[in-house]
Amino acid sequence: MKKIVIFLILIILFGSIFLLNGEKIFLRIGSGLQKFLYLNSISKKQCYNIDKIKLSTYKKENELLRKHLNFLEDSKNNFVMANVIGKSGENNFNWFILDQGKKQGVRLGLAVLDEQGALIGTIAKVRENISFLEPLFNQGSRISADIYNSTNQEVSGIVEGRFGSMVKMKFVPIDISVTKGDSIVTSGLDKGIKRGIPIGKVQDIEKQANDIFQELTIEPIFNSNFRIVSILIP
Amino acid sequence: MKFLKFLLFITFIFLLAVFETSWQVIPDTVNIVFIFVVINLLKDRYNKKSLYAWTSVLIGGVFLDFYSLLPDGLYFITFIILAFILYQVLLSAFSISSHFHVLVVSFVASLVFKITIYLLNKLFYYIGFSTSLMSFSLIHLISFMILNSLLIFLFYGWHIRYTIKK
Repeated sequence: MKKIVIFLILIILFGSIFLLNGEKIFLRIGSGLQKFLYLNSISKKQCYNIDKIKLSTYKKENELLRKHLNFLEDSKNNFVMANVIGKSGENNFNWFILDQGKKQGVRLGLAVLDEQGALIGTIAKVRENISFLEPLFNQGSRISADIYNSTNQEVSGIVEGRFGSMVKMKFVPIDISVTKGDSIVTSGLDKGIKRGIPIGKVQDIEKQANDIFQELTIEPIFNSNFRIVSILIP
Repeated sequence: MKFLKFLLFITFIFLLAVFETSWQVIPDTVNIVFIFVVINLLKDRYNKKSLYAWTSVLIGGVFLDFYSLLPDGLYFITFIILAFILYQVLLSAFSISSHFHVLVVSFVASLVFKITIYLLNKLFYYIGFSTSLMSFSLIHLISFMILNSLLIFLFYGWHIRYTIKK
């Protein structure tokens, strides 16, 4: 009898989480704790009392929000701002948990930007109240992009993550002149991602004599210590 | 009272999942929910309280899936496969009263866990259930196996010493 009751509880839990969007219950319990844990565990500065911690946290948050609003108001984009409440990974495949979900208008494939407007990655999974950000450098993450080179030629290619640690650009024709330091921006060909979002700069160029394409190593320009992000809604 | 204890047990697993995803002090190569599940499975062999062991397997999988970008059900299935292998193969071949055997069992359990996740992720990707494909990292696998098996060994040893009366 007891085992049947337990089994039923498990079925209800599983069903409520994945079928009836019951994660709201757990998210409400867990999100405050998650935000507290995440912010405190990544903060490197030593603070000596609670007031100082609170003050420095509000100050940092305020600065970040001002920066976000600066570029968002300039670009006249619709956006949803989200707190990063968690980070996890398996075999160098990482993801960040954001505290905004379907309810707030977040959809699959949308671009996620840092406070300077640089692309961090895309939304790879959405639940009712949370969403998952897949960073650029994840294996299998692909975004179509353009290069703005010194000769003002616009060239398209695919930016993709490798081994969870680096970003490469593929399918750039070998006859196109690319130099280190050229800017890479989104091309707008992906659904849900606008054109012209900065991704990074060319760090290294690999050319093989018999190939028809060259491969570029990209240095992403987003702030790796992001805590608040903007999700651009097209 | 037992029902309350059971609810507390579920809440504890939920908190472990929250700490696992949000508390960045825990390194990427340590999975505290996995450690908790394996300790419960080892304890089950000793105490015969299969209710708690299976609850930790199922609920641990559900909560890790809840906070995971990987397809829903991946951790859930992985934990069930892990429990099956642990019961059917490892615990029948090794005696968990020996410290060395506990270390070996936890080392192999860590390997089974990682390999199963990797293979299931590949399977889900190729049949179209998932758009996320993880890469294989030998360094990550080895560090995961060493760290997690040592932690299981330490926590299980501590548990045997202080909580189970022989």
